[in-house]
Amino acid sequence: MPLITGTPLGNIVSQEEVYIEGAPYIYFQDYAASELFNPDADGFYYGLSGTTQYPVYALACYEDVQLGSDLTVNAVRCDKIGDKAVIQKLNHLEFQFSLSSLFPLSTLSPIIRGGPVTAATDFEKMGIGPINNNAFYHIYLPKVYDEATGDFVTITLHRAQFVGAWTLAMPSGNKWLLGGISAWALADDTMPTAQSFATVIRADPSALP
Amino acid sequence: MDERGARRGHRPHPTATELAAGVPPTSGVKPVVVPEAEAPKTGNAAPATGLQPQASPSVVPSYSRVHREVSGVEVDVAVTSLWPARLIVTRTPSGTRYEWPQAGSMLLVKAEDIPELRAKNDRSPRPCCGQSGERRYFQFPQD
Repeated sequence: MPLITGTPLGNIVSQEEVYIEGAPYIYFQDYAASELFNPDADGFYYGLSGTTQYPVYALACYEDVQLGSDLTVNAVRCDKIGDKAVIQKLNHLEFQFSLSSLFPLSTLSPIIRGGPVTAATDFEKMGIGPINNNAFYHIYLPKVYDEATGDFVTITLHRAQFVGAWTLAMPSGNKWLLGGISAWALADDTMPTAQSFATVIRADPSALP
Repeated sequence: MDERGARRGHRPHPTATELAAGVPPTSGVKPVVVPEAEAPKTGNAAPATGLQPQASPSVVPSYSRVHREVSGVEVDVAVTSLWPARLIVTRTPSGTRYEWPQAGSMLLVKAEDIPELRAKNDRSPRPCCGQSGERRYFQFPQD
């Protein structure tokens, strides 16, 4: 029964008492590899599948993880009455984090846009030269928010590129920290339009129909 | 379905059980490259879910299985590199220097050097982060 305090009438969809803490796992893989589901039975593209040629890279120790969006927003302004509408355009998603596990160099090279790595019995070698602007990656961010039931949410960024100026901090008395890491999730026009930047999957059998 | 979907084929929808099982679709290599950790893992423990990327089935074609014995004499073994870099191995028992130009490339390795390469696969002195302790540089035909 509606409360007299102002509860709306009619169909009401309320939120769940689910709060997620902490960073997801971070995986990435060369864009040339197919995603694990491409698509699934419902037409969604997501997940990664490592191969010999295109392994999945798993990052270990990181912090300051966040995902945001870059928008162009312009109001439709009518001087006589004010703003009547808004034109919005999603340019890209921006995924940021700082990394303190730096090895092996094979995992670091794509992030800092380094050169090909040579690994040998005693050493790893990598150059830093001009940036290859044609290097794209899938980025996959799974997060289990209820480990007892296995409920999780995943975000797959289909076509991301590591961008921005990184900084490797080398402080006294503290770990080295690679900061300023940013990956732009660009529009992937091979995806369905509604998934061109990313796909979000949530699994929670106890809460979903 | 768009062109990409048509090209890549269609996979069935995953069930919650499938996603939570944590078992790759088939046995075989799981070439997930994991950085070494600087600090022990905290908080974000790896649950037994299927959220880790899946191994791809049939990574190594059957024609790579050239390990065989002829009249009791061991011959060279085709070893595939799983490491996403140019990989050079020296100081082998036979003294041979091996160089794989990239992940997925294959070299014939002398039988006497195989245990040394296998040991490199098993060597994970600084595993990190849940299930990521395994580090595999090579795949052998009999794997």
